Amino acid sequence: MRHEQFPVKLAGAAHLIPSVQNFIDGPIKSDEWPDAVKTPPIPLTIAKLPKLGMNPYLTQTQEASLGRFVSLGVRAAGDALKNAGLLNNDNEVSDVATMIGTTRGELSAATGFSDPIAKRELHRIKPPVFPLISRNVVAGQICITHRLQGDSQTFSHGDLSGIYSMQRAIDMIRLGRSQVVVAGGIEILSKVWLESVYTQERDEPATEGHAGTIAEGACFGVFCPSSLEDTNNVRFGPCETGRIQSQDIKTAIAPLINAFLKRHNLSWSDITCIAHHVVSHRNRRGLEMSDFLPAVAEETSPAPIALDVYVSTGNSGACGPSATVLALASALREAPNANVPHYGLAVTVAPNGIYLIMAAEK
Amino acid sequence: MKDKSISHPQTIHISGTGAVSPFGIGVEPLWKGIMAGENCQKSIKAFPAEHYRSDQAAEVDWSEIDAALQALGLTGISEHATKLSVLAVHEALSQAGLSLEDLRSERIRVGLVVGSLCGSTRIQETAWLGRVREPKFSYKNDKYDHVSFIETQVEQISEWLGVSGPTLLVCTACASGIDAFGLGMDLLRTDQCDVVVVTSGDILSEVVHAGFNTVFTITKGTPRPFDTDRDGFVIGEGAGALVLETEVFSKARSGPVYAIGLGYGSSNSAFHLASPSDDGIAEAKAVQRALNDSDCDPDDIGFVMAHGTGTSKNDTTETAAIAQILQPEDREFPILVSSIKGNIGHSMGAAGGISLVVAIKALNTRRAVPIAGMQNIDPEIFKHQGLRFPRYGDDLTIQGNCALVGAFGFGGCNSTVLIKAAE
Repeated sequence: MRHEQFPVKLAGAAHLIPSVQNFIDGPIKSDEWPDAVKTPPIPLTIAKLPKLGMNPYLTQTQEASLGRFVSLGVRAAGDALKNAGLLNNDNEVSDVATMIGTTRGELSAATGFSDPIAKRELHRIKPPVFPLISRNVVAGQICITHRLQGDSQTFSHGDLSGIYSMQRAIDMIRLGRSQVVVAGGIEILSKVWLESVYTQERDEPATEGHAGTIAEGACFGVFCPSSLEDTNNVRFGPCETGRIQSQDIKTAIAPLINAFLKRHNLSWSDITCIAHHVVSHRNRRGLEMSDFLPAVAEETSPAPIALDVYVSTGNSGACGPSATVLALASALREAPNANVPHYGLAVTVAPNGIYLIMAAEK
Repeated sequence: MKDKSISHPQTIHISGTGAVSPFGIGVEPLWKGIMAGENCQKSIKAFPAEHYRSDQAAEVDWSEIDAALQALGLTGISEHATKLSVLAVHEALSQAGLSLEDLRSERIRVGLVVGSLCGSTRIQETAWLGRVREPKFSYKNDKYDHVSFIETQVEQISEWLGVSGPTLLVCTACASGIDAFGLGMDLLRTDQCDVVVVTSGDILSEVVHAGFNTVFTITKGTPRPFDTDRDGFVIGEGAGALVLETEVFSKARSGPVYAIGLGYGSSNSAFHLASPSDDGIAEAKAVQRALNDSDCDPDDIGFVMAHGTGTSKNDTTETAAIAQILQPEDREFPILVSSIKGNIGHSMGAAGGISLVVAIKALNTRRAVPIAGMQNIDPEIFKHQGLRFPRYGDDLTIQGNCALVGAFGFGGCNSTVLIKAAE
């Protein structure tokens, strides 16, 4: 019965996150995080990816014309497929589906696109620059480069987009729409994004930890159906997403998780690990995000291992929440291989009042 | 491997439709305008456009939009595409007999799916272009502050509706409206919701108009879908909204049923970021997957509401994909294939949603949409026996109970849905 609830396995993954190394190789205590992200965030600290070298999946010309956003997506998806043993090397098309979450990524292309329009120098706008302002071109180029003709969709709803792309991957497999789905979240820093963040925060005090670290990165997983033989793998199953109506996150989130667990015949005592991405500052709707963990702690004793993915990924739009799924898989994989099943939750609570809970089993 | 807990395929009831288009607010003005063969394109009002390949577009009447929102007491909505979606959703909910109180009730699990390519771009570009044109431009601008990003649409609509279930925004470029519908169906099929409000809205902006100009898909004249001399489209604005319900929920409340959602399929061409494939094989996969997702008999499909952009490549590739899967030459009656781009332009992310609304009207009236602008059908398209492309004055009678609605977009996105007339 429980196996039917958890029908999807993570076959491979890849992550490209600034300053943070190997975070999905196992649960890391908070004092082991690199200094760059362990330090209490100074308002609008920026965490940018280092130079990654030549993209192994694109030519130099392609990489130059497609830009960093698309190049990063092609690389992360390719690495995830490669780690899953599903990278297409023979140029034949496959029906692998592509689900992407992004919410700010295309803005870097839009900035460059605007200059010739504003100056009425239209001759400077040349294909493929124009399609690059549509955020779904990352999924498109992943499909072109890796020869994927499955469904390809792009979700854009703030931070939730990244983890939702993974929920969609699980739903697609449950519905029989696809046998393999590469899914994840990706963002690239851009001047437009940063300037807009400054603008949003302009009338609020720059208190310590207020806006956090604005970061970029990509976290991708490859999902496919699990079988009963996959006894030592982590499997994903029930997911729930919705909007938090209350202004008090402390009273809002715990009942949501409780109801989720109950609906799926789980209880707090089953939960070994929570990987969470909860932005650590008060948002514009007045939700006090830092109340998340105390709310969870009130429900459970002893408390499950808590992996604060926000600390490691920063405020990276869709990227960080997708990292909760990879971190959860990693943590559960480390769990003792006993006869007792281990369960975990990946939880994202985004500043615009949305949440997603995803359960996994080992 | 399908999840045994999902009773699939599961039919979805469509209980309400709504639209905003250059013909005005509501499905009826849209339907009347299309059936009268009117073309809404005019000189662009939103920005100076004389220096572009074309200065034409099919814009909505924003004074009418703002007046309608004011009449509903919805003056706080700042983003343009959201304004259109809200009015379309309002009409769809009225038709479905669902109030905001119903949606906010804990008895009903309600979700919202929004499809859009470039909603909020008009606001964004005031900043993008302003920072180039005005040396002292400041981002400390109230308009920019609150509607910086595309998800503003889903935030503002979900706050207005008060929904507590899944709220999503899908961007598959010009296929967004169809994918929003497909995602809505799946939210119901996976038992995450009882009701899903689906809407897609898009607006004209200078950045998008300039972009389509540079890839030469804007016509210098008028759109002529499927015509030998077709040379592109004009950009349109609008929104299409639908209310979807599970069959169980719909029957329990004895709600109206205007059509049945049967199946959804999508694919990626994996060919080019801005162009359909040469052979239509990948595009045909989307049609086949919609059939696989449904219990629809392909021989019962009598109408195709095509994407039909009027660009040289889209129309031949799309027609080849349809013919490849539906094999119209072997059927008892012809399949009528239409496009509304010659009436309301190409409303990008909203195109699929508006096409769905029109297709439901066509199924319910048993009348196909005549193709505005088409004079001489392209022989490469006409060669598919059994597909008929109706013009004004032709017999528009739809035979068969089902319709296929398709949309294609940048990034290689191909999406189709199958719907059936309500019994």
